[in-house]
Amino acid sequence: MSNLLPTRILKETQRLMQEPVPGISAIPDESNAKYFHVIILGPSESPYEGGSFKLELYLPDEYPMAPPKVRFMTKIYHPNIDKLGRICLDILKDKWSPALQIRTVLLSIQALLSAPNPDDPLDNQVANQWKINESEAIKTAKEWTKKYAVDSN
Amino acid sequence: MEEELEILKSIYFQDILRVDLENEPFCIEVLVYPTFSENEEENKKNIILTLIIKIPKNYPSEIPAFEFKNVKGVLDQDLDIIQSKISEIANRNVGEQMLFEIIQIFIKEIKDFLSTYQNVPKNCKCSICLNVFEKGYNVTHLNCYHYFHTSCLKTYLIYALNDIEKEKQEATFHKIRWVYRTVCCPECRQEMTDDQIKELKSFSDKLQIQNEEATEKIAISFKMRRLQENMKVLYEKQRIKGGIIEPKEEVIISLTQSNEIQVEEQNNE
Repeated sequence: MSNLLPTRILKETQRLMQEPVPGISAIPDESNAKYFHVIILGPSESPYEGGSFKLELYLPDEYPMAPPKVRFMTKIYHPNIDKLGRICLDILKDKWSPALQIRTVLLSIQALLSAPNPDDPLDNQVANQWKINESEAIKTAKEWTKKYAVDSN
Repeated sequence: MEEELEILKSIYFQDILRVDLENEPFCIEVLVYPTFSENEEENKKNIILTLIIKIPKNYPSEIPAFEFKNVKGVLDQDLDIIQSKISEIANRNVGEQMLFEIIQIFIKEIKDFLSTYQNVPKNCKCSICLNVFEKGYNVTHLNCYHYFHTSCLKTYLIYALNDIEKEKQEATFHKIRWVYRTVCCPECRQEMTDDQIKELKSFSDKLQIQNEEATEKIAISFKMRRLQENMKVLYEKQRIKGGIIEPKEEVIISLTQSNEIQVEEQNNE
């Protein structure tokens, strides 16, 4: 971490490490303090329960005027997350505000796992499945979680 | 009760204390704002609030109820603290005259709580740079009473206006209707008025808070380092299982070079 960071990012990082959000770990990369390694645990009573989902989060130079860029690295079956791990969440786009933080963004993503929204899809195939046959979609989501995100050891 | 009210009336001016004995329960309203200027209107500009004391029939053996009205510029969490202090005093004085003490504590708490620097609430941070408001920096509030460093808010305004302009141009280019939107308060999304935008645009300040760079570095604790190791192990396990999305070039947000190298190293092992 040779480059100096804006104080805002430093403050956010310190708080993330000192008072972590339950179910979420976010650690800056050793060589790039604007790049965060993130793990979100699948919320209980959701199809993602038991899974550990790896995400990457990057703060662009314009941050906090521009939103952080986040994507899932672990495969996940969810109507608002596409095959490439991109997330459909309004606060990551036009509803971004500099009063939001890394913390609030990750919390919103965690909430999105608890409440999939097939009416505002990013992945149409998954969203359709979710609308046509919700129980089947939830079953698939559980299978994917077990297959890819649950630590079997 | 009457005697107590007479005393209060003799202590506080009419514009501070209003007593309503017409309706039940009896109400006493106490208006408070910090005084930092000779100009009364200026004093009332940023922070002002009213405490309503509702006196039950069985007062003082039953304690009054407290409410706040017309709160401007005081954080909810601060109100909670004030409320609990007032209740504590009321509970301690059950059966005795307590109104004077309550009002005194209320006024003192409010004045302690609020710094008089630009009449900005104490404990309040600029949500754009996350710094507290310190002397020497200009502070602005929007109509919704959310406070920001003027320079932070200006940076935000310029960025947001630019964003909206880009959106408009794109809409024209693709011949689609552009849905009107303007710059909003970062905290509550209340729209900023044209006057505010104009005023803020013309503001110039040498002190640019949000661009300040930290002199400290992030210290990664032993615990964090272990977590980092665990994350790497988890990633590797998931990758082997085929659970990691193969990044296509256009979605890699910014894998740092060294990060890629680290992954490669692990692959070679």
